[in-house]
Amino acid sequence: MINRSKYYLLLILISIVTLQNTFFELINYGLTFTSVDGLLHFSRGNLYTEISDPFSLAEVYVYYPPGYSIFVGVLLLFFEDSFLTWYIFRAFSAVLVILLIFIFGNKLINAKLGILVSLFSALPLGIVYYKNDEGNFLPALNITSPSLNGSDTDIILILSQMVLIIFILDRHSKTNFSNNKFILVLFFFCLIHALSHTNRLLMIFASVIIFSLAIQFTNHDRKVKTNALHVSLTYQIALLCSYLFHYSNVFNSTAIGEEFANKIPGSLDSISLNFSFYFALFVTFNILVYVISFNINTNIISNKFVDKYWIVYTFFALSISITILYSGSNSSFSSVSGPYFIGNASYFGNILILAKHGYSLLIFFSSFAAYYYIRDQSIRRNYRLILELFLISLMVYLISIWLDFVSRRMGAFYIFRPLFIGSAIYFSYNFLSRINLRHITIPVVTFLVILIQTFMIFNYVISPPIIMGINDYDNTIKSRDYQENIGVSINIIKHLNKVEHEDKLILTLAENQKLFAALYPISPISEEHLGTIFRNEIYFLSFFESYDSEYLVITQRDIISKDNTTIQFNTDKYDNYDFLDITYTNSLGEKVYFYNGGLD
Amino acid sequence: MNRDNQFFYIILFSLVLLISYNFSFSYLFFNPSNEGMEAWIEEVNYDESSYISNLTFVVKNLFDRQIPCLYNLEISNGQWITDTTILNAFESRIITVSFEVIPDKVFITIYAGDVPLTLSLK
Repeated sequence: MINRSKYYLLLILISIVTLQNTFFELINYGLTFTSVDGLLHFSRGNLYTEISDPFSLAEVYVYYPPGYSIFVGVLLLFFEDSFLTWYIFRAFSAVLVILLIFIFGNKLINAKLGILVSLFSALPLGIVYYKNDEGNFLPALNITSPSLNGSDTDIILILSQMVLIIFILDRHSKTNFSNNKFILVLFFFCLIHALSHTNRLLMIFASVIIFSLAIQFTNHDRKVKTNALHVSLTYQIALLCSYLFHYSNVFNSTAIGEEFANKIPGSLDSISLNFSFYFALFVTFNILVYVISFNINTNIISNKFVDKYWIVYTFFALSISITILYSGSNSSFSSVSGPYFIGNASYFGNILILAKHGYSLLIFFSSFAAYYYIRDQSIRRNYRLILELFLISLMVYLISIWLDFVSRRMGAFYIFRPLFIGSAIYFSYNFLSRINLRHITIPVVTFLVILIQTFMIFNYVISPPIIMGINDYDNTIKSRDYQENIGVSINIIKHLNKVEHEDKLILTLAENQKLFAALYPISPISEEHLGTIFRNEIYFLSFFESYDSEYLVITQRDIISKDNTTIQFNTDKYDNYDFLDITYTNSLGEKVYFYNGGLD
Repeated sequence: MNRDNQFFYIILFSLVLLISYNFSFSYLFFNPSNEGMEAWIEEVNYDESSYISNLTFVVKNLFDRQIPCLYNLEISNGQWITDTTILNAFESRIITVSFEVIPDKVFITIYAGDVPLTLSLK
């Protein structure tokens, strides 16, 4: 009992951290993305249709039933399109994901794994490789579960489906629910999913169908086979129903069938989809599966091939490698989810990036072990079947890349990432504790793991800001004869380029007249003359008119001398001139004044 | 200390670290550094038919500060308008202000910590 309350406590803590992270994540993304525009996109199963009033529940329902829009719609009625609406929605979704993934891990092995898995899906402990401007992939910490941004209902629906499939395949389940009831609930979830995000249902749909087919060939248990067939049928019927009653015009006068045909991914565009095509495919496929599964002696196949897990796992590792290498070489990919990345991560930059590469590789190799570990330790063999679903979803992803079949929407294996990273850590812990030297090893390893995590997370968040917007040398100036190390903002340069193009004269203070000279190559003003102008107010006031100049630029070097000690000019007086507008300013004191002709 | 307890304390310790990370995040969010802001006037439009002038200006972080910060804007054209904005790393926030009566001079002040930034336009 004490143990159980420990886990509840941990789960609550994880949920609290998740709530906080969701809050910050939402701030980070800003409200612009998750606004009503986002709702209109995500709530339609990827279909764009103009609706006149997104706040009208009745109208939203006609076009975009259950899923996203109903839940958000209700919140919108109370809080409108505000921060609170989106925070409540996302916080609720995030906590639900944490709970579902805990059940997932708990069912597979035990509550400890459940806690680890939920921890890994709640915190930015995974690694994702982002492509930078130079084409290198750089590691960055990332929430291990799929981003909740825009996929909230999908991940919840997918996880619920996984949990339900586990229950359905478990023929020794002690729950009062019969399998039929579970299947009914699964159907309900599939239907909602089909209506709210067709593409993502297709990815799970493809994986589950192949998965149930695989079970027909490899499993000896007739009941498991039948259950798997039922799961497969449930998915097919759900997709069919969503098509018939929502997308096509067979039973629905407000159908959006034409758009649906256009949105069917990639290479299927040209196939004309209609009711008879679906129906024929559906009937043929299931009769085939039924005939094959109950008439073939599966023992031969399963004993000689499938139970050799190393073959399966080698295939798994190979397909990941090929996928990632492929995507690495494909310029359209801007990010690759770790820890499986082994592409052109040649850029090491600094110790932090190196540490992240190391961390990524560590997780990659640990997950090999974790796969076996789950297989061996899982209490019931039927739970372990879900791992095959992972392999199959990976295969579906791989094939979708090769066929150019909306691969971005086929990443069902993402949802298994926290499971693998969590179990990798759990496995390592158990493995080390079996070694005789555990009194030394465990504290050292724990210390190192926590140190790495702390280092990465704290570095990520509270490191001092790095200057990114300042150019020491601007290329436009560097290419000229007049070189000077000018510490100005990129945006000042942009300002000046624009002006230079119009052959306008730009002023800077005397100290920094190289910038002036660079932009006005044949300078009619000597350095000495310029100095006089800035030190004498009478000359200064007439300067703009005399030289047809429009801008006065004051850069960092003008304000603080080269040794960073003495202040050279006080620009306060320029601020007070009515004929000068401040059109650019920054915290370093750099300014661009615009002469507005007010001296006339 | 048995294995179960070790496991528990490891997770608990990690959580304490992570919660403190969240608190530090919040602190930095509400108390932004006064360095690394820039602002410039992007566009000024005057619509003669409706007598409405639109002033568009950009506020941007000069620094990669990793976390968003909260800033206050104050726009003055005789009467004060105040606004609050959240700026992310590398983010430009484009803000457009409309004036129905053309003011003599507009001042935009962005409170980024101790040193406010001021833009002005006649």
